[in-house]
Amino acid sequence: MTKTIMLVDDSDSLRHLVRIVLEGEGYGLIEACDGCDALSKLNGRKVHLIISDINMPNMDGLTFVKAVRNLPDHKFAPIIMLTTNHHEASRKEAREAGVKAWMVKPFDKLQLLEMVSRFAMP
Amino acid sequence: MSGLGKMEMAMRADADAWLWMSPLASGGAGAIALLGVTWLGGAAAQFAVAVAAFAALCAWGSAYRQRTVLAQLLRQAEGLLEQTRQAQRQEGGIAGLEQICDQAAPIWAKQVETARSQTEEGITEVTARFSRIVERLQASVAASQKAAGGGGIEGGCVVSVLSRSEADLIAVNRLMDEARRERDVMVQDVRELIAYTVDLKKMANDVGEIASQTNLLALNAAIEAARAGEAGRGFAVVADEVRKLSTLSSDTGKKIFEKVDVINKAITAVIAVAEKFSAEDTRSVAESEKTIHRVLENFNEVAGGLCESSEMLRRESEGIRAEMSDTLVYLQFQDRVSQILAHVRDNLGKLHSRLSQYATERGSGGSAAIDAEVWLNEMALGYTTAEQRNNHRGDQAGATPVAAEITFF
Repeated sequence: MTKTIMLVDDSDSLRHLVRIVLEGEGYGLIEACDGCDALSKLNGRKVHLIISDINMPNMDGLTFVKAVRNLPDHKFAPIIMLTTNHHEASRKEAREAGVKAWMVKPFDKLQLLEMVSRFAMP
Repeated sequence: MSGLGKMEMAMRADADAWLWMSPLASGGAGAIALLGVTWLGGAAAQFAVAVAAFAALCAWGSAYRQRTVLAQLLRQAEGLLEQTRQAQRQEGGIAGLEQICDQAAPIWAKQVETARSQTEEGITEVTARFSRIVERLQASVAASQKAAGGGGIEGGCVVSVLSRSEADLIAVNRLMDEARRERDVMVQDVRELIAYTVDLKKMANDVGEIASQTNLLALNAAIEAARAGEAGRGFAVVADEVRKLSTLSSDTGKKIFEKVDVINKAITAVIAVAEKFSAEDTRSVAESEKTIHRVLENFNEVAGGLCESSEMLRRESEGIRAEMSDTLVYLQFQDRVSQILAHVRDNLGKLHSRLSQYATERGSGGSAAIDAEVWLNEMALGYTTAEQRNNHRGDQAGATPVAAEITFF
């Protein structure tokens, strides 16, 4: 069965890069340009993993993560942060919100695939 | 103490001195008049008192005017000092902005330089990588063309080799088909001859049997004719004719056997022909085997070349995939550059707004000071990347990080 990954990032080019990598390995992808867009696209849909940026317009990544934790269908969805952000305070906040891992851009293809394979729900 | 402050104090001291000196001058004039009264006496003394009084009045008036002027000057100085203080406060605000510009501008320059260097490094790397990809693709295409263009087979590409191989196989097939048809004809002939032989043998047996029975019957008839005497003489003639017929029948049987011999010879000849065809079939099969072997060798050579080409293409594809994977990493510089430049852009916008606000406040005579340290700290709070913070601290402008940093929670 094809696993579905949700990617939340306001950068078109980065979403394009991640799409190339993940679709090349057979994953399905749902793209969103910010937290609000992601919440509207989740809407009960089954996703095996969420990859989210931090700094985004409308709704930032940490706010989005906390909102996801309040959704009954996605309360335990595994989430990885993929960001340029180095703030320790943000990492702490993400960890407390139940984020599985924090990956600083630029990402390495194999590392990203390993992370996805490791954390995507069966 | 500022120069204006010192001037203010000096001017105040000077004004107070003038105010104190005026009564002293009036007192001095009065003392001179008293000495004149004492020394001159009489009318002269009255004149002297009048002069002294006039002098004292003039001195007091002069001192009063001087005091009034000094007071006016002091008020003007105080007004000037107040204006100076305002100007000083205003100049203090401008100095804050200058301080911000002085400290922030180099940081902005480093941020921009970081963005520029990352862009340059990324684009350079991408260009180099894509160049290598193109070169390797060209090598793959050349290898494929070389394999398709001969691979050791004289003067032929894969298409012509296949064409020749097909013609050879068709020829072999035709030979085998001809041999098969000739063999079928021969087998059919042999079968027909065998059928004739069986019939002829049966006929020969029948004829011999009939002749034997007829001869026996003629012999019995002759015996019975002899026993009848004269009456049986004619019957004896018939019996004799029958015996002759049986003899003829026996001769016919012999002829049949002769025909059978002929047929046997014919069968022998046919068998000889069949053996000859069998030998030709054997040679044809041998030739076919050689042809097939030659065709297979050709195919093996082509297949070998294709395998080598395939392996090379596989390795090249693997290399290209690795290159593309690395290229993807370097293309992410755009995201970091975008964030850095966006931060600089936002801060420039904030500075522009603050300057506009300053101009408005200055126009209305209010204070417009900016705390540079607060401003810089606020600017630092907006940083997301490590290189932004490094630049802010004054480290050398950094290049694009190449390894992903992963933290597992």
